[in-house]
Amino acid sequence: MSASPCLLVLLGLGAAVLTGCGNPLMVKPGEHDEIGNAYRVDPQIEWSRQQDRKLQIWTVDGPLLEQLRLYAGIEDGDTLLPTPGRSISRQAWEQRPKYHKGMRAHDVVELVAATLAQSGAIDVGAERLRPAEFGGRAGFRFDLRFESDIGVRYRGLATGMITQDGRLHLILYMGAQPHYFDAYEAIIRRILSSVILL
Amino acid sequence: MKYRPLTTLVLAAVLGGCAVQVAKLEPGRAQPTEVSERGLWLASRKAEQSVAISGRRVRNPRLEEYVAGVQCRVSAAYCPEIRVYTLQVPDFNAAMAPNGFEQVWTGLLLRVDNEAQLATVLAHETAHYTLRHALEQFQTTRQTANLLLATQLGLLFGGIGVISAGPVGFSTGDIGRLIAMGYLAAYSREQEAEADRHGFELMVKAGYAPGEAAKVWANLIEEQRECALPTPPALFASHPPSKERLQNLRQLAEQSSRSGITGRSDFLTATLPQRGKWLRMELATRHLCRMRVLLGRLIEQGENLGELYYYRGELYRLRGEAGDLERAAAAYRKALDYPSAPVATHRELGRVLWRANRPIEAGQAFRRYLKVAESPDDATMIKAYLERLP
Amino acid sequence: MCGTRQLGKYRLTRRTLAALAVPFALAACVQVQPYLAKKLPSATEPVRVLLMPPDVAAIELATAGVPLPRADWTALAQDGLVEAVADTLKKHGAELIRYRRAAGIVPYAEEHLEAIALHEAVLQTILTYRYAPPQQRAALPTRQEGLAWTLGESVAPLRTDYAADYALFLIYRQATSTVERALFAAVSFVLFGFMQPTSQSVGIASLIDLDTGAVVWTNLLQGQSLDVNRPDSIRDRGERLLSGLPL
Repeated sequence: MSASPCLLVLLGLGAAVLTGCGNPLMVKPGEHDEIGNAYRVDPQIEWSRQQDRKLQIWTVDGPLLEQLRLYAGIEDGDTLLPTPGRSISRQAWEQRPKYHKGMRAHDVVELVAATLAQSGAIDVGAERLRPAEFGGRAGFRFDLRFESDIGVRYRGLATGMITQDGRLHLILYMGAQPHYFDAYEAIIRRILSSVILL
Repeated sequence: MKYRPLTTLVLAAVLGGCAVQVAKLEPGRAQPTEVSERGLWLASRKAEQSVAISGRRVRNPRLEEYVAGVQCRVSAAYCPEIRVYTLQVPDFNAAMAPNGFEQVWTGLLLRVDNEAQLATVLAHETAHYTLRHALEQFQTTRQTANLLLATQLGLLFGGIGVISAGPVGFSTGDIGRLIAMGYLAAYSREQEAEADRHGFELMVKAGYAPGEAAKVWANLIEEQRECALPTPPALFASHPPSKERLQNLRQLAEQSSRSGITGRSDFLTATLPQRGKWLRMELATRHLCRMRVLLGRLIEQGENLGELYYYRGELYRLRGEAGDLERAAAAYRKALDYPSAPVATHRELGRVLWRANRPIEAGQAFRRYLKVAESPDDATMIKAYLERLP
Repeated sequence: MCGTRQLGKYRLTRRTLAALAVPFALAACVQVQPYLAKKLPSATEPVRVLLMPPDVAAIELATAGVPLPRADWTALAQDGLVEAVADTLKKHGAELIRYRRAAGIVPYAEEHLEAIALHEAVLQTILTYRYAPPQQRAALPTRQEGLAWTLGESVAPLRTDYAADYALFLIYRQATSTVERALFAAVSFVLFGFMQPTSQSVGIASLIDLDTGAVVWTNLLQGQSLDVNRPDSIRDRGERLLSGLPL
């Protein structure tokens, strides 16, 4: 039994389906833990995974509550936004915040904040940018916070690095401040520290 | 209720596009009694509830009080019936729902020069309210019966929200609701002209300078022309800033014998503390051309130049066309001549100089940032940069 | 379309329409889709259930599809739902506590807003992964079955302010056609063999354990019938919506 499409439209749910990224797979410790042939992490627990071009989204309870975004090999001109389901106008494409070769940690923080703002996050704050190892190499970390339009507050953690040939690896975690961020924080910190470059 | 299906159908066919006329609202009137007006109020109330708890709402008592004060000044006897919400949306728009729920976006506050111009917009919206344009439009549409079902359902059922932006949307419906509210503001040309006229009377009566009314539209037309905006921003959909409207308002001002205030200093006191944040939001939309036009106008006006030159630097840094790194560096340097330059200006200057292959100057700028900002939260990162610089 | 077919009650104001409607009476049905997290422990004392302000709207669909929100029907529907809640809780031996609506536009107290907002996010998630149509429903292998969502500690202010064990959230929407629209529907059936229901209702209920914040039960109700002119028996729909309440 399931809701008929028309009723879901009535519920304002018409656009809510997460079909853009193909079928989710399960990520388990030791399985499917490679991110775009670039690095590997220890998932710690089981995750539902969706795969976009250079992006994997992992979640346990659903992306609106908590999600881990793992980007690998972001190149000049790439955006951090998931590939749009339908074609978008040239202007809309031009206005998407993009990664550029030569960017440094501060630029990445700014890119992440603008990307979130364009996805509807409000009052995006990126804080405590600091050097941190990413898979044993020089990288960076920073913290995030923002609010959604329905009034849910989120917190986030991010870590990343820029490769010698100027590509970006980036891991973002975001969770609703009541309950969800806290519930996974320790696991996430272990995942962020488990990166092994391939 | 008596049902005469055939008669109704015939009437609808005959009436065609005939506009329904409704009486003006009297101040202090209680809840409506007529069925379609009650329905519109119900829908408006639901939309208002979501906006009232939305994260987009500006929660700054001083600013909220100020905007409400200007609204009261123009709406006079209707003041207690109108509730105005300021929302953090980087676009020019204001909208009034039939029940007196009004929203003003921060992108509008950035683009009006003074209180009189803000009052022009609020008075225009007040006119839509007192003249019950939404009801008039609704009833007309109901008779001509050509409204999309989905738009209306979206309005009514917006309360549950829509997950947008594909697989990872944190954006959940508010914009949808705002658009739904925008539908309520989709008035006819005649209604817009009427609201312009009546709104003009209200703002002049409230003691504002008549000449300011037309300038609101002049500013917007400038942005639109300069940037050849292919898709109109929200405003242009609901309130097309046509030359005709501009001329009508100019004519009204010329005919008016009244004089009035611009209220610039009160406007600045209320908005300047928030302006940097709004400019940051504009920047995130990456409408860099519009932002350039806007900054040009604000710089001409001359308040908080340090902040404005800083954002001009940010604009060039992000645009990244040939020569933009130099333009950005020059703008940051200029910003530092003024006390209102944010401390981050030193850091941003360091960033562009480093990118422009001027490591010595970049290092100097970063060191100044560390000194001026007094242990900023990114200090260790800056120190790591400095290790790579001479 | 309906899994468990049931004859809904229908009320037709025009005899002609009633005659037309008879062949389609089977199209009237109500179905529910409950999910339960786990069986609740049987309480020794009557459990206290806090009814949050129901979010209700009823609209009238006119001939050309221009919907009109109906404040009067909405008020009726709201009262009907609350009565259904009172009756159902009584049957379960539970105590109904009404939320004290705040005076302003927002019915909630400031300190409850965090829970309200998170509830909305969780409910959207449940709608997406439990109630979306199968061909569009995204998979969430980590939450394949049952209900494992929670509002966490955000419910603490509700618990302390009301000393309640559970909070019950209700959303209800009803669209009912005018007689003219129903006639059109009948005519289109004759011409094209396709009958649009003249009345549709949809409701969502969720029960939150205020001790843990856990979402312990949700239900989705969908109904179609051939009512015209006013919403059909809301009481009945409300009782269906609450059927299977695990108290």
